[in-house]
Amino acid sequence: MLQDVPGATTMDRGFLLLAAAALVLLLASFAFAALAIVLRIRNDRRARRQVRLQRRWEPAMLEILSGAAPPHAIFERVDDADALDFLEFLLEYARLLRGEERGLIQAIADPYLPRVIPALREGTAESRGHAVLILARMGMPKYAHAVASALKDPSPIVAMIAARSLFRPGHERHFPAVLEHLPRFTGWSRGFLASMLAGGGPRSAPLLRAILASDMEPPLVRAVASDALRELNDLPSVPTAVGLLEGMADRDRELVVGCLRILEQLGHQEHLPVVRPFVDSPDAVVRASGVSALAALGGEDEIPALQSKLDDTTFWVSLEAARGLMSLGEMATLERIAGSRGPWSLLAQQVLSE
Amino acid sequence: MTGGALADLGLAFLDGFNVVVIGYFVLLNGTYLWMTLLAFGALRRYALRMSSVDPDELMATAGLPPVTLIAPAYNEEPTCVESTRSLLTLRYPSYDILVVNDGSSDGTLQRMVDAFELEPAARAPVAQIGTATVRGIYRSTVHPNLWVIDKENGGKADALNTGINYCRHPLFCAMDADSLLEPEALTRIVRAFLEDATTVAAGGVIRIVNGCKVRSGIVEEVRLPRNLLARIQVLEYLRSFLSGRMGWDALDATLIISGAFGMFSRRHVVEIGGYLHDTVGEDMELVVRLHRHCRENGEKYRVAFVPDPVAWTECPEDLGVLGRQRDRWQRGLVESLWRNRVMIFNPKYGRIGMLAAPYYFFLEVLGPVIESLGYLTFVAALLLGRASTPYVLAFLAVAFALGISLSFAAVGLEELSFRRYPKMRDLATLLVMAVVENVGYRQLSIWWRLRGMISKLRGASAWGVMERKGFATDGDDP
Repeated sequence: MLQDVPGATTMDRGFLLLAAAALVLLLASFAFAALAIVLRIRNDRRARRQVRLQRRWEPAMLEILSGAAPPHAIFERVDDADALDFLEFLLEYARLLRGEERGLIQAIADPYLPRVIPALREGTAESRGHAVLILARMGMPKYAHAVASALKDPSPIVAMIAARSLFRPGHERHFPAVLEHLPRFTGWSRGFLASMLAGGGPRSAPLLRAILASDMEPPLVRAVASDALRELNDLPSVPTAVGLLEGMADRDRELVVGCLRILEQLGHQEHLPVVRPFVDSPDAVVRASGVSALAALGGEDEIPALQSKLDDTTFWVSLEAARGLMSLGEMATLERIAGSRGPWSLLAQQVLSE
Repeated sequence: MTGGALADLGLAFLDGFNVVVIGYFVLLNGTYLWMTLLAFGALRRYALRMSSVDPDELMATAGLPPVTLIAPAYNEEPTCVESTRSLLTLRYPSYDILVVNDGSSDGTLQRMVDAFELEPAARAPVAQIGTATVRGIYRSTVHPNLWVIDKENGGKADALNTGINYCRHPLFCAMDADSLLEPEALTRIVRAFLEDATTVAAGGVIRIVNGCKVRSGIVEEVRLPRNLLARIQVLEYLRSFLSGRMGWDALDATLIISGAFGMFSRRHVVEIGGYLHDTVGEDMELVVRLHRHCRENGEKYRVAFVPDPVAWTECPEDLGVLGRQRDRWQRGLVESLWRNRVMIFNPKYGRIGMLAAPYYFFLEVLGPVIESLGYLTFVAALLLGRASTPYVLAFLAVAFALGISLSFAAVGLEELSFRRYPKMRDLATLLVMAVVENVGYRQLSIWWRLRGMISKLRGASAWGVMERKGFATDGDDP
């Protein structure tokens, strides 16, 4: 357009362009400043509204929780337009309360929860996730199916919120659905997933054992299952771990380590022959787990093997060997090494002082 | 060549360079605007996402990995006790604190020994990255997770490497000894590693503690500093973290994690040999090298920026110290990119090679040179009649308006997300600072960065001294 200005030179056009840019940017800066101020005003107003609503609801809420009033006593204080804010208010209580009091919160929330259902299918992944959380905290088991349907949500975050909510005692019938989706979550940390699965309690163990034993599952999923079984102190998983170790050698490091940890925590002396080959594994991570399991299961007979591992090329193997010697009461070796000028002197001192 | 021809050549150069300056200006500010717009979306999504995650529930999760905090300390006598106390108040189920006393010449070690009842203890190194000699290792008898490693002076990178050698956990958090971490900072930053097991590094937000009310190592009340320079830096940090780093993270191209607060996978850092000793920008260099290592080995990985874990740090309040700090930052930037220049415009390195590294090299490294020469050539063009005064004034007006827009947008991002400055007066002050910084401060900043470039070319490697005032504020206990 500027090129069409009659009689304009290149310099004029450049000037006009710059002047126009300056004007646009000036307007943009006013817009950003106005945005900041409007956001501040909106946030302050929201905060004041929150305080006002809390003041209206809190006394009734405390009366209900103390048993002085029935759950429906608060309903008359909740305007229709404030329903979603009311659910947010209740969510804070639901986060803090357990048992009977959580039941009261659920009873109070119940008439308002249908408002959240549309949000499960609309908006961003984050708002869908929040809707799942509200239903999971205050709408179970009534809305368990709605939460379970979120396992199929295209967003892994939404699916994970649903999985964490469903893999809890009391929701056993949804465990298979969660486990079916487990391969979707293998991007998450192994410890986090194992902790989530262990949260299902002892009744999740048969399903986890089946996963551990299944060749059809990815090794990482089986390793997560082994960690969860160990956290659950699941004794029946020991034969599965033994069977896997006997046939596996070093094929799947994560799975081997998982099984060795099960034996370390739940195994017996009779499992020592299964563990011993892994003490000499070429993989240092497997070797360290093997040494740790050997020390946990073995007795005095294993002291020479552990002593030989003190000189391992990997620090972690030496550390596990030293800790093993300590747990078997073999202080003399450690004290001798600690008093020497050898390379593992400091390690022995450290273990002796632990 | 005749004098006339030479003059023509000079004028042609002048015109050409002015075009370069304008091109640079458009590219740089276009990138800033792009990042700011990306950051608006990313921060909004992040805030919503956080409403679905309960830190308390996460805390109760047995799956939270243990973490080692490594805090290098060199002559930190005024602040070391308070900042260590802040580390002890972190809400995290399992963590070690390794304060590495890097041969301080003041009473840092003695203050730590007295305050935390340290006693000599045995701790074997786990890795063997080369460092200066370790003189002694101490453990607190009152806080069993607090260790102090006393070593000969070797610089910050050397101290961090010493900490890494003694780190027994899969993740470590590198930080400055004078930074204050918020109690939930670790829980928040570790989420990046929980949600994506391929994460090798994550950075948090650095905010300025000057002016805030601090008690027992915890920021109790967020206030703007009284000092003008510090106020401008508050705005700069908002722009840099909420706008810049958030925007780059939205592109999955995070290249900088502040040395004041970042979490790393120990294994990966050990694999690349830890921090480099011979650079003043060891924090950025490490992240660039992590990218390079993972890309070259075909490893799936992520370097993340997380906008809500906060480390509070003291910023310089006088021009001399601030100038030296910026000089050092610029040298660090130059060194990091020059060492890894093979990545620039190299598609093998993905977005880092094609976007982030070229941006930092051509716009941030060469920026001060082009900008300062731009000022000179504009004046020359004016004097020689190659540019009209209104034209130059219009250009400066564009630069001014753009600078203000970006700063206002950063303040808007803060309001949209974290709203740490609760008073309306603070908001107004930040908006005023967005205007004020354009006159004088911005030009000084270019000069400091240019000086950093020059001193880099001369081979300087000094850090410059940062004077610490300590965290006690008006009306607080010292």
